[in-house]
Amino acid sequence: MTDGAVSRSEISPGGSARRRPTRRPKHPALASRILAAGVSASLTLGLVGAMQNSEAEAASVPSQPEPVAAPTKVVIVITRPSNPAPVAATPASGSESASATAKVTPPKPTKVVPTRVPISKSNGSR
Amino acid sequence: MAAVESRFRVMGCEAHVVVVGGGRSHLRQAEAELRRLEERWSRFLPDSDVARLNRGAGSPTRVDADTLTLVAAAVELHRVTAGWFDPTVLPAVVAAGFGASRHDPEAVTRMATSAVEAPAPGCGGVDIDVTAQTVRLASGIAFDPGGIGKGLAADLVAEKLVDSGAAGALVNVGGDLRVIGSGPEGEGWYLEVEDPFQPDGFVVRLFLGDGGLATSSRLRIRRRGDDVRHHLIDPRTGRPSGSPVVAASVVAGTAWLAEGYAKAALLAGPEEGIDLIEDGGVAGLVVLEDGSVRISTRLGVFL
Repeated sequence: MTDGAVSRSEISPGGSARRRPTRRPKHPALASRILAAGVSASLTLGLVGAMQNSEAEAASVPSQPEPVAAPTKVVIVITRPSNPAPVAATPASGSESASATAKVTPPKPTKVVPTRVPISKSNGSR
Repeated sequence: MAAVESRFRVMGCEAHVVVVGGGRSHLRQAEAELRRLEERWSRFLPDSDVARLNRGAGSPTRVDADTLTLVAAAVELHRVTAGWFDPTVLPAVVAAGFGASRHDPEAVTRMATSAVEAPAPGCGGVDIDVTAQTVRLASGIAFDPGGIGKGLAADLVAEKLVDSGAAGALVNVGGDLRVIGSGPEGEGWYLEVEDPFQPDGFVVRLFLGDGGLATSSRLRIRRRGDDVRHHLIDPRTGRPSGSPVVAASVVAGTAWLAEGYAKAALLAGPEEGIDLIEDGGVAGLVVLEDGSVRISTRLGVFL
C-alpha cells in the first residue's frame, strides 16, 4: 500500500458456504455461568456481586438479538502509513441490532472529536 | 464537565486515568488501587497471590477476594472462548522465554511445575472455594491471568471511582481500558484502537458509553539468535501462535471480558476469531499480517 492511497471497503460473500459453529447461548445468568465453568458451587454472592457488571450485554454495549442468518462480514483494507481507514461497515444505521442482512452503509465521516477531550488508546501492551 | 487525568507506570505498562466530576484525590485513589492489585496479581512478585498460588499447586491457597474474582473470570473466559483463552498456559509462556519481567530481569516467575513447551492442561484442575477464600491448583498446573489482570484492574478501579463520587471515569491499563459514567463532554468516551503497524495512528475511533475495550497483539517479541518468539502461546500446542492475526480488539461490557475475547480471537485466527466475537455477543476487529482489517457486525454501533 502506498501513502495517501484511498482506503476501500469490500464485502466478503455474506452467508457463504463456510460452516459456522453452532451458536452457544450468550452469557446466561451469571450464577449458572460460574457453576457451568466448573467453579465451586460455594461461590458466593460476594463474587457474583463483583462480577455482575461484567456481562457482555452491559447497558451501553447494545444487546443483540440472534441473527437469523449468518451476518455479513466486512473486510476493510486500511491505508498505511497515512490516514486510518474511514470505517464504513455498520449494521443498519441507528439500529442496535445486527440485522440478518447487515447492511453496509456508505462511509460516514469520523466523528468530530471536540478538542481538549482526552482520548485514550487501546493497544497490545508492550 | 471538568476532567482531570494522570499517566503513570503500573503492572509493567503505562496507565491512563481520566476522572470526570472528581478531583486529584480520585487520581491518587486510582493509582494506589492499581498498585495494590499489582501486588496481588503479578507473577513476578514472590509474595503476590498469583505467585503463592503457583508455588502451592496441589494445596488450597488463601487469596484476596479480588483474586478469587480474577481466577473465576479466567475460568469463565476459558469456557466461553472454547479454550482459546487459557490461564494455564504459563509453563509454555516461560519456556518461550517470558519467564522474567521485562523491567527487572531478576524478577522471575516461580511455580511448582516445570517450564515446558506443551499443550495447556486447561481449567479442570482449578478449584475455587469462596467460603474458605481459597484457590487450589492441581499439581502440574500454573496460573497466569495474562492481560485480563489488567482488564479486571481497570474495571474494579473505574467502578470504585464512581462509587467514590466521580461522575465518570476512564481507566486504561496498558491498552485494556474501561469507561463508566459521564464522559468529558457528557455523553460518552472517544477511544482509539492503535494501528499495530503504525503506533501513532489508529485503526478505528470508537464512541463508547460504558464498557470495556481491549487489544491483544503479538508485537511483544523475544529474540534468541535467529529465533524470534512472541508471547502469545497457542494453548493447543504450547508454542507461540502462528495465527496470521497480528492484533485483535474487542468491545465488551467490561475490560476483562474484552481482553479475554481479544486474546482468543487473535489465537483462533481471522475466521474463527470473528466467529468467537460474534457468538460471544461482543464486538471487535482483527488486523491481519497483510494490513487488512476484519470487523464484526456489532462493532458498527460504536463507530
